[in-house]
Amino acid sequence: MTPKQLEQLAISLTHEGYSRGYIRRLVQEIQDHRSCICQEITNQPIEESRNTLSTIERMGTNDEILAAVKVHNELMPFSKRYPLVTFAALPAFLLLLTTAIAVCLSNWIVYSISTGSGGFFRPLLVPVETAHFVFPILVAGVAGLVATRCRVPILFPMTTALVTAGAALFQVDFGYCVVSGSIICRQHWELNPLQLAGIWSALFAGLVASGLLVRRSNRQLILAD
Amino acid sequence: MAQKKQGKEYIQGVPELLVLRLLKDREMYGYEIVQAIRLRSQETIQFGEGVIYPLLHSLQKQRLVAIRRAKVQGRPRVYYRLTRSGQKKLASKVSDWTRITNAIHAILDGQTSDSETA
Repeated sequence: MTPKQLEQLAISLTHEGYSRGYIRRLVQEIQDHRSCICQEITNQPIEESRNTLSTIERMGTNDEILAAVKVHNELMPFSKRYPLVTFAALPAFLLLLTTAIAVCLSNWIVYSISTGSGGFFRPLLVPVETAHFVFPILVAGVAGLVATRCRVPILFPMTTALVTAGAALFQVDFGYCVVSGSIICRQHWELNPLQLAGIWSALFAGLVASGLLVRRSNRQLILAD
Repeated sequence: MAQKKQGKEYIQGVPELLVLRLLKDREMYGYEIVQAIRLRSQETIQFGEGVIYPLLHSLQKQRLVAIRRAKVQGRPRVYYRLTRSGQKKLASKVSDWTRITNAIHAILDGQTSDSETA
C-alpha cells in the first residue's frame, strides 16, 4: 500500500463520514504495519524474498479495507456507533415513552377504581394519591430495565432521573392527566372500562414488544460481528 | 432455532475468535497478530492484512480489548490486550466452536443417530 493509496483511503473514509480521529488512527496503524512488512522483507534471504508477496499485495486493497470498516461499523449496535447521540437523544425519547406509559397505565387503573369496575384487577388497586407517585416511578424503572437489556446501561439511572426531574420541572400532575384522560376518553369516544382496558393493554403490549425487538436486533448485531 | 442462529454467528465470528484467543496469551499489535495467525495456521489462514484493524477497532468499541499506545522507532504503535469481558466472550466462543466442530466431525465421520438407526 503506497502513501498515495493511503491518502485515497483516508479521502474515501472522510466521504463516508468517519471521524478525523478514527481515520488518523487507522492510517497510522496501517503505516506501522507496512513498515513492519518492509523490515521483514529486507531481512529475508534473497532466494526467499523472491517468493514472498509484495507489501501492497499483503496489505489488501483500499476497497477491502474500506469494506471491512463499513461491515464492522454496521454490525455494531446503534449505541456503540453513535454514543453521543445515544447519550443525548435516547433518554429524551424514553422520557416521552415512560411519561406516555405512566399516563396510560395510571389512567386505566384509576378509571377502573373511579367507575368501580376494576373486575379482577380489584386486588391490585391502590389509592389514587399513591398512584400519582408510584406508577410513574415504576414505569420509569421498567423502561430503564428495558434500556439496560438493550445494552445501554447508562439509560437506567438516566431515565429514572429524567422522568422524575421532568415531572418536577414541568409540574406534571400525573393524577390530573389520569383523571382528565379518563374523562376525555369517556366523553369523546364513549368507551366502557373494558374497552379502555383493552386499548391500554394493547398499547402497553406494543411498547413492550418493540422494546424486546430492539433488544433482539441489538443482540444479533453484536453476536454476528 | 437458537442453535441455527449460533451456527451462523460462529462462521461469521471466526476472525474475532482467533484474535481474542491470541490476545489471551499476551498483548500484541496488529502486525504481530496477523503473523501469529499466519504461522500458527501454517499459512492456511491468510487475508488482506489491513482488514485486521477495523476488526480490532470494533473489538475495542465492544470493550473486549483494551489498548496501550507506544512509540517504537519513532512510529506510533497501538498494542491490544484482552479485557475481562473479552475473556468471557472468548470462553463462550470457544465453547460454541467446540460444540459445532464436534457436530461437523460427527457428520464427516459418518456417525448415525439413534433415530436414524431405528
